Amino acid sequence: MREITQIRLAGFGGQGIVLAGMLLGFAGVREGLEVANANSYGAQARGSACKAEVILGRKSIVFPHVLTSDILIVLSQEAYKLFLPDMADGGTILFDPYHVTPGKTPHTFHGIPATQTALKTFRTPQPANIVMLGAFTELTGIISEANMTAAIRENAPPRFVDANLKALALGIDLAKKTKGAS
Amino acid sequence: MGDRRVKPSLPEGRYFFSGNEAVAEGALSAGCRFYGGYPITPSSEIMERMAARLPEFDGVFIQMEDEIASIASVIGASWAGAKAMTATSGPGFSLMQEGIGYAAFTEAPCVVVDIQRAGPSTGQATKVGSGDLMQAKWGSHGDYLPIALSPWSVQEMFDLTIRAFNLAERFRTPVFLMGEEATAHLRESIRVPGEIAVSERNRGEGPPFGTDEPDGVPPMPVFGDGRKLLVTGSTHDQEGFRKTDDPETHRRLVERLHKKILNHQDEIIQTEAYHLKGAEVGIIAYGFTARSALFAVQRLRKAGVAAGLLRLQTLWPFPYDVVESLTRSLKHCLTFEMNMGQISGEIQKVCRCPLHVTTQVNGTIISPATMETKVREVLS
Repeated sequence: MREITQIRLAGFGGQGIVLAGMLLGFAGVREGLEVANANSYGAQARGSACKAEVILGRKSIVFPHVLTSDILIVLSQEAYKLFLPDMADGGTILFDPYHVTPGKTPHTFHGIPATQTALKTFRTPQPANIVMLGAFTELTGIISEANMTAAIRENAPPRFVDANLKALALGIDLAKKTKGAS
Repeated sequence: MGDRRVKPSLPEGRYFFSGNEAVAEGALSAGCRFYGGYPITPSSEIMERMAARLPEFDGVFIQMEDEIASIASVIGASWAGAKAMTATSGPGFSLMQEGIGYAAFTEAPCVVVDIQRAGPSTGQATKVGSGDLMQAKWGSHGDYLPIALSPWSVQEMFDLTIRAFNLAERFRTPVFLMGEEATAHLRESIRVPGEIAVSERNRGEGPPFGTDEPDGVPPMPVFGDGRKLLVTGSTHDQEGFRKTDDPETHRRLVERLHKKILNHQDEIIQTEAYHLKGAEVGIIAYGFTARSALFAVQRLRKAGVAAGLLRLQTLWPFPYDVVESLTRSLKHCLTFEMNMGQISGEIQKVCRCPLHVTTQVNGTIISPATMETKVREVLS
């Protein structure tokens, strides 16, 4: 990975964007990286557009907010439109095709059917955020599966740990298929 | 600073905390065993964590009925021998001012954390601001000198909370940690060391409000030590007896409260210099804004611009000497503040080069790009 990787997770309030960002941060610390994480706060995190920013560094992070995202994990069309202009050239976009129809821009796109997979397996769209984290883990290789698993085990709400770990595994599988197809 | 090595509240290691969580752990590490407070955004997570954690340390947590009672409970706990803290934001800080004056005048060590949001009044409750700095300086009536610290990272929310307690105990005075929403709600990886240094108040013999100690800080007995003790916010002699009619007693007391801070500025004041060697343009910044400034300075240096940064970790007492000395060698000095220029006014008093002030009061942080643009404007 590069010295500083800027990641933005975005969607609408209630999708677990902030939790996913925080779990990614915990995993980053386990990975031995420097981490900064700034989120939508309070009322912003409910309804309408919601974002979490995670910066992972092999060196200390001077400015802790995302300026241009190297990676965008996006779960709503509104958030996609909002944050596309801040993408780094050659950046990677992980999107959920259930919510997002991307345009043609010079970025690397990975469509991860997280919401449909969550609905099929859990009968609720709620774990889609963790499915996306699984795909992120597999596609970027920045965080090991072991550290992501441990971060969820230690920091996700206890009664959802098993479901979240299952969602993580599903995301990893989906990403493997994506990689195979490309 | 600190005379005693102790283990912090958590095992040595790396943690992923919000700024507010780090304040709570810093307080527990420093030995805080009393918290009295009233919840207010964006400081509430400090209170939540203290409520959860203090019982593990046999400490006392009380949710008071308001901020006036909160500061009063903290002063009482301090006189009962506890290291005590409260945390709030602008509106609560306003309510606390009378009590803060009482703490200053009765020399009750305590820590008040103000997580600043965009004011005045209720303002933008969830948005960042840095507008309480003059309130920290002048908020209570009469003459006293506060100590105020300005953290710029989650690591410093931990480190400077410990330092705030050490300064409070060392100088028997309230100390303010002037946090900001942007750092309080930021999460960052931090390092908790295996050991930290902490200061304990001098509980020795001698008049508790004496006037002749060489460093101006008298010993402080606590309730229960068995001594006769009077604590009053009225003018008092060295034993605490009210002497409100005596000009000499009042003069000696107020002057000593000043001297105990002014004579120890070297011990209290901390600043950091970045890329200032050979700099033509210097930014002076503090808190979260200093992070934007360092990022901007690094980019400017890469582009061949001789820019540097002076970061103020201590805001009160103000580092006039450091600023004056630096600005003698600069062609231009720039300041950026999330208020209408509160600290710039202090810089102006001693600035030896042209000063360019940028203020932003829209509830958002000042971006590195804004700073780069301003520096280039000044140089063009």
